[in-house]
Amino acid sequence: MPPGSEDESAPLSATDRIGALPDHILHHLLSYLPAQAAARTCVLAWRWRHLWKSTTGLRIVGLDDEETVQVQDLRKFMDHLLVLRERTDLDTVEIKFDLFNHDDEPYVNLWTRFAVICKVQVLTLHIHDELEYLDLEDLPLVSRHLRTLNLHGVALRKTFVDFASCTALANLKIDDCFINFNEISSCSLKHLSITSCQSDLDCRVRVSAPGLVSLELEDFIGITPLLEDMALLEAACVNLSVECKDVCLNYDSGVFCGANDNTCKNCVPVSDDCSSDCVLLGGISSAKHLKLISDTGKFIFTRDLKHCPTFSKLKTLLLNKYWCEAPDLDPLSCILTNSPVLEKLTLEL
Amino acid sequence: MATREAGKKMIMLKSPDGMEFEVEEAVAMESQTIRKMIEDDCADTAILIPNINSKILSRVIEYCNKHVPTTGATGAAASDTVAPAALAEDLKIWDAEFIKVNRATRFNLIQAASYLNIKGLLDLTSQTTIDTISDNSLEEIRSFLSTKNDYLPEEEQTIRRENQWAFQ
Repeated sequence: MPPGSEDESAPLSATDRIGALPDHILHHLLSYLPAQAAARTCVLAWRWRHLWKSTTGLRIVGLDDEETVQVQDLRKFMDHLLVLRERTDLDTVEIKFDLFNHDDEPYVNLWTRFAVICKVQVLTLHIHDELEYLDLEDLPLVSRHLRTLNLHGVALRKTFVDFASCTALANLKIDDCFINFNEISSCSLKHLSITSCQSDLDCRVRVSAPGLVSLELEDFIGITPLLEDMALLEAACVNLSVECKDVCLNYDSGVFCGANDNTCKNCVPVSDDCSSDCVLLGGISSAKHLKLISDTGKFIFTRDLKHCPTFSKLKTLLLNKYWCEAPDLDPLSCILTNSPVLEKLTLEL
Repeated sequence: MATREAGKKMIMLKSPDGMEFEVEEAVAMESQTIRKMIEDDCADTAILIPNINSKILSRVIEYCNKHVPTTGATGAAASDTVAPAALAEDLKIWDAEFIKVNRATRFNLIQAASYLNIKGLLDLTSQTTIDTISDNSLEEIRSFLSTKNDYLPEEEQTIRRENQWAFQ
């Protein structure tokens, strides 16, 4: 760092300063550029010849935000980059594409593994292909360094989502992914978000994350996942949309079975969740802040209320009109009766 | 070490231009560099922060104050009434306002964040700096970095050939 930094007012000298920054800061700065742009800085000047080889992050993305990016376009580039860069650690890796072919899948999987080998802490995999999910190899993810994992547009299987070997994983975001597993588990996870995901399995996906602090489960397409106990939970937002498959078959005839379990075949509990009385509410009953929203005709919340847990720490609660309309029992009064320390109730009608 | 209020240790930070800043230990420890000094017991009196003038140092402290995890009595009370997601959103908006500074100040903040090892501030300043590049073309990056090309023409040709794969 140059001494005498008191005079930092002149903007012209400031532009010179970026070159005066030490190598390790430039390695960090270059990480925010797309990998192609970072590699091209080699021709700027002698100083820049090798800087791109040790960036602390990799953005495997298009050069231009506006244009559609295909995996194929970057395969050759990545072949070179991965062989020629230094074997320095990567803090962040972002892989983002709009289109892929089936023969691209091994490449994206390989880049993902490369990131993990380089001790990546924040890994983002974002596939925007509207037609298909990119299939992630069902290999165990083993990393003591991975803290944050963001997934979008990929198909996930059983071994990959057993995060037992990712001991530092704290943040997991799964958005618009295809769920092909029946359990997701992590002891280290603090923040979990599962949004707009799709499953065609006929059993409930179990979510086992006992250390969770915040949870977001929204717009799940399929049978609603089962939440195991989350004793440390602070805040949860659960939103069952129109795509939720737990629909009461009698709802339209006005005799919503809801808590009565045995009237229509959907409302009878699926045999594999007999071990738990509640699907959603049991797991999140320790939360201080809850946002519970459901489309009409979904029976999960009302059936859970039959075994209503005590929300012993609940301070703020937001509900939608579902809670006032469900004909079977009075869900609103039920949840209020079981929330002894509630301070604020918001009804979105 | 100065102490104020029950349970709140205070640390004195000194800039090279002679200004002194009294900050809570927890706030100062947002800097991994200062954390290490405190943990190694090198922080009995004031800590001199070399190369970071008072104007920049006060901004750095402002950042750390905002980002120190809200734990303890007051923190717990805060998280009881506001959901964590709202707090995070609030912080993002605050960051965006905080980093609305001229280029010179931003570069000084990068240097300070790097020396003091404050990951969040380094990420924020780096990201904002790169965001000012709009099309990622080499010409734009060159002018942005205001780097003088000191290659001989034949040297540059060699480098380009060597890294042709990056220009396709």
